[in-house]
Amino acid sequence: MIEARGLSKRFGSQLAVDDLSFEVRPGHVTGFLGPNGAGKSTTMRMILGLDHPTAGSVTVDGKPFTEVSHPLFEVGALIDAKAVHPGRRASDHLLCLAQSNGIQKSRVDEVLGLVGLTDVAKKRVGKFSLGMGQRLGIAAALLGDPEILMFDEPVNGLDPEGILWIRNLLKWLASQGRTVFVSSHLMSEMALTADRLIVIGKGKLIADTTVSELTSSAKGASVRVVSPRADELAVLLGARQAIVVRGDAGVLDVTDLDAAGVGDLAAAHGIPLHELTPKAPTLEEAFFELTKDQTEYTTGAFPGAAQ
Amino acid sequence: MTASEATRPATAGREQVPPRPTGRSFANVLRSELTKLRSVRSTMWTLLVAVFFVIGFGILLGAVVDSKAPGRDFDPTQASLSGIFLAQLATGVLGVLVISSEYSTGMIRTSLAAVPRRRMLLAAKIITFGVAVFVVTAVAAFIAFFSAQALMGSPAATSLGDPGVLRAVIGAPLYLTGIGLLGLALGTMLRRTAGAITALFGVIFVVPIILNVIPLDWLNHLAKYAPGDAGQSMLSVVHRRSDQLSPLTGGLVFLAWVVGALVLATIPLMKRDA
Ligand SMILES: Nc1ncnc2c1ncn2[C@@H]1O[C@H](COP(=O)(O)OP(=O)(O)O)[C@@H](O)[C@H]1O
Ligand SMILES: [Mg+2]
Repeated sequence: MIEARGLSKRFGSQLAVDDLSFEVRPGHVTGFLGPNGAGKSTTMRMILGLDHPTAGSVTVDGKPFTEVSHPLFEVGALIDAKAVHPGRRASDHLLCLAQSNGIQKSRVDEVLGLVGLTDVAKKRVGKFSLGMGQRLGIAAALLGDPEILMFDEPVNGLDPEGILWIRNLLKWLASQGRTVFVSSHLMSEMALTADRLIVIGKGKLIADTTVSELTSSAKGASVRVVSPRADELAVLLGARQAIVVRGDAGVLDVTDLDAAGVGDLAAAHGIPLHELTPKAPTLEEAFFELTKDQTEYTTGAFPGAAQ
Repeated sequence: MTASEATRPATAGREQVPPRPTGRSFANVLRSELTKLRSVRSTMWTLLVAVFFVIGFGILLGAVVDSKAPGRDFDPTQASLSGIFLAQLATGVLGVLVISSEYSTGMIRTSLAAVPRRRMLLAAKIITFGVAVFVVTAVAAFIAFFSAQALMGSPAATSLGDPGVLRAVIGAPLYLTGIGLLGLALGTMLRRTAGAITALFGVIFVVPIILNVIPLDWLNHLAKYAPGDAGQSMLSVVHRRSDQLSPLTGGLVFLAWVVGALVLATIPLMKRDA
């Protein structure tokens, strides 16, 4: 169990993490979600005692991480796949980490096999691709067979195969009852792997929820309507209290009335429809909705983007 | 199976026998640091360069001195160990790299996630690096001493049994280790390889020059207390310049510099974010 209480971190004038309190409970994949610059990596570094909090505290199984005597047995972390010495062989990299916690040498070969790096064990890490580096970082995290695993943006920069591999790994780890805490700025990624979600933006907690709760609480479904008599239809829909957003000529985006309602209304007035598409809110949209005020750099809408 | 072929982790369940820690914490960290030291090619090469300088200059000086009659001030022990002037560049740089390479590569965060007690990590680095450099350069110093004396022949040569000679020969690896540890301290404080190396050689080479050049008596007087001069006084047997400390005093001043720098380095080590 990871517990953060009033955790804050200031870099100069910038408050990167702002009074954050949350718990990461055992036996779940907890997604740590937030746009770039939200403070996810900073929070994870504070969990590991790498960064000192400006205020508040964070504990791992009730203790500050820096007081744990054999940390690799408690928390396995992949913070940055590039945080290795490029001149060291993969097996030596893992060996020095294993030795630091009194882990047998045989375990190094085991974790290399687990992540599929046995054949390149003697290669120098600097020659590794990003995907191989990621696997090496995961091998290091698994050395002590810890209860808690923490991965910072593990799919970033990976090819589809690598992404699939990480997803399967996370599910596999959680199926063994471990605590898995994984960050991402991609809602879609979290939807596939996480069951609990901690959402932050600009360092503040936005939601501490589950994936299913988040989707159901998101703004209602909408219906995309295309009609040559869209203007007429919009007036009729407005009279029914439906919210209508006009897109390109002839395109309407209707909320608060479902596809059947829109279709019936159009039929009753003899208005032809060229398209009638119900749109369920994706998790992506739910997430965007939650964090749109919190993103560091809001990009302007592209010209022509439907609004 | 190559890395990219494995699209899913092994499907076996949890390890039947989860690994459990063995041994004492600090001994484990020492073992880990020794693995780090020996598993990077550049550290091995740098050590080899130090050995090459120490032995090479011993042989060179031994061969050169042979041809002429030694003067009264000639110190055959110190001459045979002249290689330390170049070897200190290697051990100093190596000391800096032991920690600065961890900061520049990001390895420090991986290291601290495995050993979050920062002072323990630094202590393990000090001991493994210190012992490794001392042992290797001590062997080199003895080889340099014996080859130089053999090449010089009498009457110039001295023997290990003569007063102060053994102490001076051991002074060479002590000096080279101390300079390395000074580098380690500066690397810990500054984190940047280039900056720490510049600072180290500034302290060893530039500070004494400045102290000697400025025409103020009390400043000139201070020059012998600078780490380089104080440390090198451990190597002298015969002739003691008036502007040099005695081997014992010099050794203690040098020790104070090294210990002081390492203790000072723990402050930013503990306070700053990794
Ligand atoms: N070492 C640092 N010094 C100064 N600012 C930092 C540092 N680390 C992170 N930040 C800033 O803190 C904010 C949060 O960063 P980060 O934790 O990396 O976010 P995330 O991982 O969610 O993308 C960003 O605005 C970033 O620029
Ligand atoms: Mg990040």
